[in-house]
Amino acid sequence: MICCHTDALTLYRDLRGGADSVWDYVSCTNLNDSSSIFGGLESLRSVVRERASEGDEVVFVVSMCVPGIIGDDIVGCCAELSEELKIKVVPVPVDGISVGGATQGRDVCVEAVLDLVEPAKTKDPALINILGEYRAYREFNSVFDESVERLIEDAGFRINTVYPGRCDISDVRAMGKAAFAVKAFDNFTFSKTADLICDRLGIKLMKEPLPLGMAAAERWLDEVASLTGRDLDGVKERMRSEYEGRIGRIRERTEGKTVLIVERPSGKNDWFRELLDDLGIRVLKHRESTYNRWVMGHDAAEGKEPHLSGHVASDVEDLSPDLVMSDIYTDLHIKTRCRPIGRPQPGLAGILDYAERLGRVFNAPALEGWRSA
Amino acid sequence: MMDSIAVDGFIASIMAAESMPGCRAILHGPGGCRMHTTRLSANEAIRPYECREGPFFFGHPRVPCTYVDEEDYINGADYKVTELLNLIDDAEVCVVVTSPGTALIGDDLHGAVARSSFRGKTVIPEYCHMSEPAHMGYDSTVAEIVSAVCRPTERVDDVVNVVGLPILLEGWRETVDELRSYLGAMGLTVGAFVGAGCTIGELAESTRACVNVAILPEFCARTAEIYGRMGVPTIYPGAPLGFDATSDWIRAVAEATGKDPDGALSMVDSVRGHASNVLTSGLHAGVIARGATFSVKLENSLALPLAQWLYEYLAMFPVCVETRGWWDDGYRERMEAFLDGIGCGDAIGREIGKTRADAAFAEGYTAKILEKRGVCSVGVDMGKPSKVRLRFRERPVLGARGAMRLLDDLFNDLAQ
Repeated sequence: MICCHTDALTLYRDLRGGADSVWDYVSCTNLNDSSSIFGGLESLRSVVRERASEGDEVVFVVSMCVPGIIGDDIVGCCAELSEELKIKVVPVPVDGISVGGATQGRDVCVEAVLDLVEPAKTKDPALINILGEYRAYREFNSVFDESVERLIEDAGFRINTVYPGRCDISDVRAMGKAAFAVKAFDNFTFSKTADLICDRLGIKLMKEPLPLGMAAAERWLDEVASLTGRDLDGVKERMRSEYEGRIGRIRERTEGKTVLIVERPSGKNDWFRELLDDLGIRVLKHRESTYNRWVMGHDAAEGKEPHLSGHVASDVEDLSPDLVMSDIYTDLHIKTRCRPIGRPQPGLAGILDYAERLGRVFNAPALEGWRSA
Repeated sequence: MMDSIAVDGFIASIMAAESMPGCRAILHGPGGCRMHTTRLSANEAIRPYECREGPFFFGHPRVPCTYVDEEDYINGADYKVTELLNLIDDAEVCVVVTSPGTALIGDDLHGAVARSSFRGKTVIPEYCHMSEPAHMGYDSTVAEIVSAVCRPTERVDDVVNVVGLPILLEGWRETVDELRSYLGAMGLTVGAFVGAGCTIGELAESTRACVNVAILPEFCARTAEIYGRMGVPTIYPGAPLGFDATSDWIRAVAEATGKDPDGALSMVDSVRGHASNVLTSGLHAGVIARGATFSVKLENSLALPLAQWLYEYLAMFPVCVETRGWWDDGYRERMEAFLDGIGCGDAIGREIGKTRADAAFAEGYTAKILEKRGVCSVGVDMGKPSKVRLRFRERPVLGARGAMRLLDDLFNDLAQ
């Protein structure tokens, strides 16, 4: 069915990844019109039996809209298949959109995955779980792992499991061994997911997520020190010195430049404002978009003025900023120099990489050739 | 385990609606069904970008969507279709496509259309085509648009239409240009590339054509039937894949229209000559392919001309031709006869994922996954779903230019 077979983004990521393909893991029952009338459980049984015959020990069954509407009992079917095949067949009855949006669907799935975690008698304080794939949605990949791994190591931790993100079943089973967990990113819905995971596993969730920007890195190290009793002052001093040296050189290009900012209320972009300060960049105007109620929470979105790119275009005319930075992609069609705010990788290397890129943008043509055509 | 990774009839139906300027697909379904089709439309049916903010569009102009939610599944949501259609001010035709889930809830779409202020033509496909292959969804939707837009008219001798060229096919725009140039060289004018970039105005006048010329027959069976009722016959020269099949296609059109094919054939010969020069001057690089094996998993009407061309032009041998649901028994007979004739009759019935070949020709993801798993040395990306998301250079499959592209992909990777 389309939900499975044409997920181009999943496939694209798959082909950029390691040796395995997502098609080694994802099977589809390919429901058709007949299934819509007579039910699709027979197709489901057939696919799960095939997976079991190929040696799979755990199969998650995620239901889409049609099985939800026609009332296929996937929970009962999974129980029968588990009994018959002597493997774990775990139902994830999201029924397409019936549990809500993508984030609600994720939580239902996470709950099901957590059933696999093996209980640990003791927690290892040197181990930390990273909750969420910190590489997701970051622009470019130049400082992918180095930045986070160095930070974790400097703080005296070893990464136990990265979930949801890069892990296999054995990593999931081992999640309970870590004494600590840290969120890869910080937003309304993901924080709820992280709470859910740590409550279930009895793991201490750090208040600070993986840090974006220098000040956040210092706060994060302070929290680690307070949780573990480690002395991390030397680490902080070394990081601060490296940060100021590199930022000072970039500032020579950015001092006195002006920006107009449009960000999501859910953005939690303190790191960004700190960086602008450090680079001597002046904010002429700050706008908030109303996107999006799922990520922000309905209450926070309530009553917000609809964001329109026309407002930003008019600001540009009035204020003539050197750069528009917006997290609303329609703004990036405004005929002036602009770029998304995006996010840096967590850690020192991440924010320095971001600052270097930002510093260069002020020297970019206001309208690239392709946009002026 | 490897599932089939192919475009289905639902996606194809939306793309068919998006294939003609002046026509819009309206998606009645959840936002999750929109994401992929919006991107696909933007990438394949390229139009100047115009930002559309506000409900149903949320910044992107293509494939606006009613964003059905769980409550709509219970209470119905046809009012959203009405509200969406009220906003459409830039289309002459709207095709309201329902998602698989929404198709089950029984919304009164005809009433929703009647209650809207949209004054263009509206097409409501009877099925969502989720359980059908791409060609069924594409052809059926184009046929319904033709039914809604076209009326019989007086026919003109030197005008032909081209049908059965889906915009799902890699490089369809270049193929349109190339075929138009061949037809022009024969003194023919194209009335409409039906379902491949024609405007609604061109489509409305397309019944004046003396004949429709098919490209991929399974993508135009129903459309041809509709045209037939309006007095326009359709000829099926076979897909112009490879130099010989392209020349055959030209000869068939010339025969049907009484025109001289020589000018168009010399255009193909010129490209064919260049290909020979490349292969021979590179210290006879062409011999690399001699005796090499290939596997194919494509639309059936592409598989036969491809297999014939690779065998006759490069002396490559098929070890696997994985077929789709056959639409034409005669076609299968021709394929079997060809394979038996070259001693490769056992190629049909094998699975491409389990058959080692030097080269695999398949949809992009399938081809690249086969390559990555070592099932083939080179996986030639023949189209969507594909890793290639942005196309800056020409990547046609059909025509003489398509032959050059396939040779380029094949030899530059096979040699490695």
